[in-house]
Amino acid sequence: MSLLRYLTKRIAERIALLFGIIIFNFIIFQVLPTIYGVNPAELYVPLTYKGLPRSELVQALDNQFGLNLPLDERFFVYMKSLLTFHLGISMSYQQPVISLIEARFPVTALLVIPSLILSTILAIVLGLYSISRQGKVGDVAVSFTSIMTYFIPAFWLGEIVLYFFGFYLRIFPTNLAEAITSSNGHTLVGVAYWVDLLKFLTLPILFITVISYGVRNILFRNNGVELMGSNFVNYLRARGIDDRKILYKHITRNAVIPVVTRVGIDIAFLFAGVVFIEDIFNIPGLGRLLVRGAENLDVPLLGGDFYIISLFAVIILLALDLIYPLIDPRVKYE
Amino acid sequence: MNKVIRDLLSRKTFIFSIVVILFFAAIALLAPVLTSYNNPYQVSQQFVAAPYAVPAWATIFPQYHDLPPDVRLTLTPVSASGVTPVNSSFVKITVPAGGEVNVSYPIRWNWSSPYNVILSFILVPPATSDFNVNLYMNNINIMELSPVPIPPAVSVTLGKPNSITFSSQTINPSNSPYVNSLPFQDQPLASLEFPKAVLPRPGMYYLVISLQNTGNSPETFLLSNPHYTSLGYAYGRLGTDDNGGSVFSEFVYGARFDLYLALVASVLIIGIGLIIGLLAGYVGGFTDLTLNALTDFFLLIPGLPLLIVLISIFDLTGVIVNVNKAVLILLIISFLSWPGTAKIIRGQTLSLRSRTFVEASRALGEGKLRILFRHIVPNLMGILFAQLAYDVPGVILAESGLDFLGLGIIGFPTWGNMLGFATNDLSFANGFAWWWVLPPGIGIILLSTAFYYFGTAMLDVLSPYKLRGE
Repeated sequence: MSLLRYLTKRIAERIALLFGIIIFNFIIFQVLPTIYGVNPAELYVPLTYKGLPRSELVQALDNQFGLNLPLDERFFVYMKSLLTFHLGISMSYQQPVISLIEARFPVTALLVIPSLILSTILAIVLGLYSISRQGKVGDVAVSFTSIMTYFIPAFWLGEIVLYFFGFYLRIFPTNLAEAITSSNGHTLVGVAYWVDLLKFLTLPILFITVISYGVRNILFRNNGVELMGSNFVNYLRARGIDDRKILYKHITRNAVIPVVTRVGIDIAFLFAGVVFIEDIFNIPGLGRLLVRGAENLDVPLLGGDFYIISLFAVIILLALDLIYPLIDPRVKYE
Repeated sequence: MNKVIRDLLSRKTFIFSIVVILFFAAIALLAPVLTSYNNPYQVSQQFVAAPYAVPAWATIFPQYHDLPPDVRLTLTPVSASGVTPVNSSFVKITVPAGGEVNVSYPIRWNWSSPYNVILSFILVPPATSDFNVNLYMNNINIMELSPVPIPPAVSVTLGKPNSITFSSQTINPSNSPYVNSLPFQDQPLASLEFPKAVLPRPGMYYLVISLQNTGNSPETFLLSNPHYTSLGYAYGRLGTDDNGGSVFSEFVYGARFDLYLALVASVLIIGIGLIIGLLAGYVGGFTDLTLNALTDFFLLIPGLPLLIVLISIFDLTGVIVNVNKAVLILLIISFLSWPGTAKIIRGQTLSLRSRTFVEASRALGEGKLRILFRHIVPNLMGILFAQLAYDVPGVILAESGLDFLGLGIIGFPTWGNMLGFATNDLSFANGFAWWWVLPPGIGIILLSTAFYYFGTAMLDVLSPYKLRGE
């Protein structure tokens, strides 16, 4: 019974959040222009299209999407279009926004998911090192480096890494198109394609790994250090269990829980976090799409991309809420 | 208080943070004293040296050893027959009929070739038109002055002072014999090749002004000592950017702007967070529920995309016609960053509200407001200071990120702008411009880390109760 209540409460909360995001989108993209005397349709049309003058295009859009309706009626039209993924047509790409997003979703996933796994492993390994040498030089150095990684501007270090390893040492390819075409200009197929693609993605993946492991490492270390002084560890020690076994078996298992939570949150904000890295390494993912939309003031693209990124975050957070009791049995269904 | 200060000073990380923060604060405050260029993105403040000039101190490294600094010289002639000094800056030259007198000006050049060469002097030719003046440098005819200007000769007015300027950047086939002597396909590049031709390597070079008299009677010329100017490839403390603007000025004014923006934004964030956190935590009930939902909402919206969307849409709808873009960015960043602070303050207020001393004062009949401001807020001081310090790095990073993407401040150097422009222009040709790319990044990291440690120290020392975590 309590489980059911917990689930319904969580789902209701997340649906409310989604509703809030839609309202927020509506305010930004529809109400704001109207307040400042701009017809939202004008933000969705290029200057000319197929020889038609702008005013006619605006009128056509007004008719089609009801953009000249009063705000309250327009809200329902807007909500319906978002919920059915009718996100409009990008002005700069001249393609439906949803198909642009569909094409770029796997790219970002391919970039982010391996780095997420790698950075979690890195965080745990370094964390174990820190815990076993608590307070010594090694621990201080590792913790300091982790804290530093919070504050390193990704766009700065990324550019330096790209130029050093890509252009100077020439270890990694720097251009996606070059990486996946053979020397005579045909696109590679099969295994060769994937090998070369991965060769290209290695540098950004490693870079994201290094830049994002810090938070998890500190979480894991602080938790582990705290557990080291706890009663159950003292008890285990008193029973004569090997220190290594305590560390690897008991402490790791307990200290990893907040790290898992953190990874979940990171997955939720997956596509939001790599905007800069996609921009630097020139990877055609969702973040870069957003930046391109902002550069070209492409409102349908901006709105659609932002909506999808937020929607993904909501869905993942909901999933996280649902599986969290499985990870940490101590959590109570309130 | 004394104990607090002693406690703070015993922490190495606090000392580090104070030193770094004071360093950047000093740079920011003393900016007008440290540098004479307040906005190197303005055209009038560019080309203080060659583009991509390395820092002056970098010439200690072997690969930059020979790079020239900015050079300004007043050349003095070698004494020769027919050349008589009039005063300290003018010489009088008498050229016999049909003869020629060469005035040589030695230039001691200790470096590799400069970016450009500018020569200027005043020539008072005789009143008759039977003469010709040629300028030679390193035995190359660089300029010809004549009363009858047939290109590439340049005209002079007879009998009056002419101020002559030769600039390697404006040479073309119609004003310099040097350009004409080049193969046709090389002529467009003459201004780049010129410094390499006339000052190829360290050594002794001569500027020769050759005065020819083609008439039948001796003529007298007056000539001022030429001024030699050239932009060098080694400049100042941090070199120059792609437009020859001083990177040090950009760094200093960037630090000034970033610190100012970050502090103001943090204060705003703390303000919003404190109000919402106190209301939610202290009033409780429905207020708490609503405010908490609002906080969660802002906490869960992906921040950076929202920032990008908001900036663009405000740009587009003309919201910012009357508002400074810096103010807009400040407001948006603060508007998006308060939830974390609010959550922490709410949690702390909740825990303080149920402590015995608060209950005791309530039992003594103190008013709600009095309890709030006399008992709860003072106990939040440590957290407030810590949050203030923790928010600074976030604001700096967010603002720099926007600038880097080209969506932020325009036309004014900030660290983000510097990084954006610098990383766009990285290449082998300029040695990856490390003097331009590294300082803003290191500045951001140092300042952020310092503020983080400052906040941690404040939290530890000022909190009356041991509060752990962030």
